[in-house]
Amino acid sequence: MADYDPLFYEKLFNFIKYLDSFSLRNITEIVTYFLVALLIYHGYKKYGKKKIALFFLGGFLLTGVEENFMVIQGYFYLFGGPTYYYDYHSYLFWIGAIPIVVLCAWFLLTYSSFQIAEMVVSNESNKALLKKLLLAGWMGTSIDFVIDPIIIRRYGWIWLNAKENAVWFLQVPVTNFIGFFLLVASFNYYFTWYWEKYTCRHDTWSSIKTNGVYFILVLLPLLFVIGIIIICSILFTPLKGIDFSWWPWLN
Amino acid sequence: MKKLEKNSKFLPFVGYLGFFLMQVIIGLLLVSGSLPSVTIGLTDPPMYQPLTYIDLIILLAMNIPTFIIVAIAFKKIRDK
Repeated sequence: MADYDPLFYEKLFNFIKYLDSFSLRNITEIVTYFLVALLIYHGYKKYGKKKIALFFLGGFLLTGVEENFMVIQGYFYLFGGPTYYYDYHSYLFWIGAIPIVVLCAWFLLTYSSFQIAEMVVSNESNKALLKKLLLAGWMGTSIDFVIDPIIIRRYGWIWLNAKENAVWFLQVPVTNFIGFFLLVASFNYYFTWYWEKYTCRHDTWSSIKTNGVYFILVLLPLLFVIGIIIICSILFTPLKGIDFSWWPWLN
Repeated sequence: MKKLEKNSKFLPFVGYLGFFLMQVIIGLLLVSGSLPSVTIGLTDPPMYQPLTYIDLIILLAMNIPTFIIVAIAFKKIRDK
């Protein structure tokens, strides 16, 4: 049975865990950093440095907390046993139990999906924001359909849930995709709300206070997503143990 | 520099499609067997059913709606 790295806890707070050799996965990591830099440049040109910095750092905090919580609580068996972990040998730089490139990739998908959705949906259309959020959520998740089944077979991360405790798609828990969709949509909603409504109402506050509130409230989408995932897990109980690994019509 | 700024409106496509393409290339290398899975340091790595070309094609087909959205967005932003 697969298990956490033998030095999981000892190396948890190391920025660099192991540096075995430079491989293809490190090249893809560097390409991802480059793509993220391009998107930050785009955000800087379109929105200015404050808005893109808040978007990037807010997403960084949200996913950093969410992913670290999920991995570490699984390690300590806090809520029903092991969940998943990232291979300590596979990535260059880390924050806790999560590779920095994973947080950057999340920003890349969330930001670029919403930007593309904004181009498609006119601001004059009915329920424009909802349409943009749904489109962005779908676009982020549809890439995830390709990423997860491939990366787990390269052992970039490893799911440790017992088979009977989840519903699977190509050996990836289905709740992973639901969570991804909800995180992309809810973070984009939170950011739009914060930027367009909240800061206007509190423009007399000092910048430090309004920004501080932003970084605290950014955890609201996380609580929302965790709540929905728990509900989904309960609703999926009759289906648990099913794995859609092989396409039924090919058998 | 001005040309770069004018072209910056296309950067979300570069980011999104670049990342997508990278995953597809890794998937193709994995399915073709040119990319061995690295298991250094893993305690009893889990066994996975190998991906096939058909799996990959179906995964890509699931992205057809996304490609359509991207194409519409690209056309709109190019015409602006």
